[in-house]
Amino acid sequence: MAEPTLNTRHVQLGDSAHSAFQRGIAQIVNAVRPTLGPLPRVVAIDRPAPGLTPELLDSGAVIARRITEIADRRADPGAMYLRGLLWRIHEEVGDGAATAAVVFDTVYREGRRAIAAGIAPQRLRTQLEQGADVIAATLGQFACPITDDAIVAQLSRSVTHDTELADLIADAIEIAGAYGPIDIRDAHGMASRYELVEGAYWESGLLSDALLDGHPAQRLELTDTVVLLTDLDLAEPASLIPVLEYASQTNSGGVLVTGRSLSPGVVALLVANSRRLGLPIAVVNVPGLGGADRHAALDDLEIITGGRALRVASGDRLDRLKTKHVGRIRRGWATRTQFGIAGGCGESKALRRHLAALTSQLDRTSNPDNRVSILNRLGKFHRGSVTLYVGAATEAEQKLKRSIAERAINVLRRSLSSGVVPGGGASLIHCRSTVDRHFAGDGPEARWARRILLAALETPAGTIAKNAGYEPSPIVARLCANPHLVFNAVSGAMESRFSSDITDPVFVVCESATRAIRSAALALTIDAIVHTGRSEISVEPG
Amino acid sequence: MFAFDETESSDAILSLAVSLSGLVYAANALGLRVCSPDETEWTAILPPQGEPIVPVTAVAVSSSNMILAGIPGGIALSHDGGETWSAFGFPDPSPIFTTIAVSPDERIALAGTEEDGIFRSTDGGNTWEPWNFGLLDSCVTAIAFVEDGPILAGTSTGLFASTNNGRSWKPVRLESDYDAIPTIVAHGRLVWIQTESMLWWRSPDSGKTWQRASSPFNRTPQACSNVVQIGEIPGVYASLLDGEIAFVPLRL
Repeated sequence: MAEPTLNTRHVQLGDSAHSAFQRGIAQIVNAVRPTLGPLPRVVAIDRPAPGLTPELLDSGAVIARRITEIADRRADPGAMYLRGLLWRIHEEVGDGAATAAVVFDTVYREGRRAIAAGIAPQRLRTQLEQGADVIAATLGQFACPITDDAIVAQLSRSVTHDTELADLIADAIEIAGAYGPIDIRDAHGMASRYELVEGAYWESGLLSDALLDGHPAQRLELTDTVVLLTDLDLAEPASLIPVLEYASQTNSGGVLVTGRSLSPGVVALLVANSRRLGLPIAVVNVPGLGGADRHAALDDLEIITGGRALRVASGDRLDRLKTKHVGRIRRGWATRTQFGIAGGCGESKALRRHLAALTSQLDRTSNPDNRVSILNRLGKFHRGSVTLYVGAATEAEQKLKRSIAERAINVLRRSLSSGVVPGGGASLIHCRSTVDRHFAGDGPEARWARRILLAALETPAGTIAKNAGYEPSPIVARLCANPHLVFNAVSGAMESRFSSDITDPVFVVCESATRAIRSAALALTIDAIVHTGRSEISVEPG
Repeated sequence: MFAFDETESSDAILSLAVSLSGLVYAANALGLRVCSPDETEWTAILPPQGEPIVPVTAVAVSSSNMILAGIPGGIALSHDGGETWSAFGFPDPSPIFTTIAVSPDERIALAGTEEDGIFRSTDGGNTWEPWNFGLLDSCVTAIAFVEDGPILAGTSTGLFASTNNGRSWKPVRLESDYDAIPTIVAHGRLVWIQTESMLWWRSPDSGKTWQRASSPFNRTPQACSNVVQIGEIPGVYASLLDGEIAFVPLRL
């Protein structure tokens, strides 16, 4: 027999595999469960280097992520399976990882009992996934738009667990809305604050410092300015003369040009004409990191300014410049690193239609990178942005607070578009009746799925109550009997869902619960585990 | 009903406002004038007598009779019925004001413009700053404070609402596809808006819901003031097609 190595694979089958998988899941769930609710408990995570104080965390997903492997190698696949789910939820949804963990745990544990009772795993999985669809639809029906700023503030606190930061974020969201840009930066010192910036800006600066010549504060201020949009190289001095003449003839207060590069000859022409005409002339790098990015940026600038871009991809040339290509802005500015527009003269209906198209794209995409890109574009039309400065006592704390702020802003934005449902696990409990009706009268797999899902839907509310120090069963029973109630874990009181501000973003509840159910349903079909370890080669019988 | 000089296009009324005491203010290219309905003569109050012409494109009167007038390059302010004026000058490019509105408690004043969106004052009109978060259209044609409701802004592509004293704006969905809103009439919780295509919408609940409605006026106003009550009858002072300015009751 060969000597076991680090790459030795071990195979577990059947019950041995199932129980090992479940042990792994339990390790993650037990670490994450205490963090659920408004009164979470904190988990201390040891640092790799000796002598460092442990990290204190109350975010379920981050806790799970810190657990990169567990000592029980046989249980490790189960742990990593759940860990992966929780981190994906954290990244794509922004919150709800702890809810997902407890729902997953219940579904898997009860599902194992069903399989032990003779239910076929794949059929059970199908039923559970149908149940997940029913829950998603029901939550969608419960969702209400956010009409009260107090709800935004409450949601902000429930995600951040930091009153000062939460209130600042709620204020920022109140101004920025679902799509306005919020830029998060480090503050100097412990205090957090926000600033408002008028208009839109792009991280593309002047192509030559010489254009700043004679302008105080190293910034060009532009008013009533003619705009030429292009991603062409600005190599020939003569190519920009028409736009300069146009600006002069129309008594413009400045010229703004985008381009890919600027030759010294053109710089010399522009500097000379800027002095002669008394016009600030800004030539900035065309925004965007690559082809698609640049096209999108030019599309947006066309709408904002009312101009038409001359594009490399279209074979355009600067010597074919016409009046229709020229846009205008009321006010703008440019520095070495950025340029901004605070009042474009683009046609308003075209702008509204363009925004509607972008919003529709945003609603259709679930890819996080696409969402960020589209949100950035939508933000350019918001006519203002918020810069949130996050302060903290240490660099590590600041990094954590920034991450919390990003997550909270993401959650709040999506809540503004998709709405909220009664919080504290109440909305999941209220899905019980539709799940019950959906599975009424079906076969054994359906009956088991019903039982499993009804139990899973109660788990988050019970866990929240327990974490807050209350006996969960009576609270869950009361919520089940009264669909108009929510449980306030902070005060210990039952409140009417119509007047309470205990709410959760519907998309967080929906995504965390349904992803957990689907993922657990898939896990129930796992019948063998292959893992690496130092143990001897073994094939454990089922 | 009272006439307002000769009906030449340069004298066309651009904006009307009425104070709680019933004084009617009319703004046009020649300036700002005031008249009491009991009188027939208009008195020019801006520019003051002997001064060069100052076009006034928008006017509003607050509950304490503070007068705000949109003029080239700024907003003029008077606390004494137009005897004396101060002005806040705006940097270039100079906005052209189309509408001004003041909150009932006078904490917030908003000025809409042709190309520069909305300017906001939180100190009784003494200083102003641009404030257009979420306002997707720079051409603002009407602004109204609604009782128990949002501030509404009519623009060239539709209606916007602010629920935070003008700090940010959101579009209000109506069936009309990006239709301009030149007129907003607010009386208590009742609000009417008129679109450029002459459709009227009515909200009975401070802007929460909207239904298509018939015009609240029995005559077609060119420009109309804020709603005022004469006796028990609410209505507006409106400039009419024949050049007259008349009190036009609201059909509730």
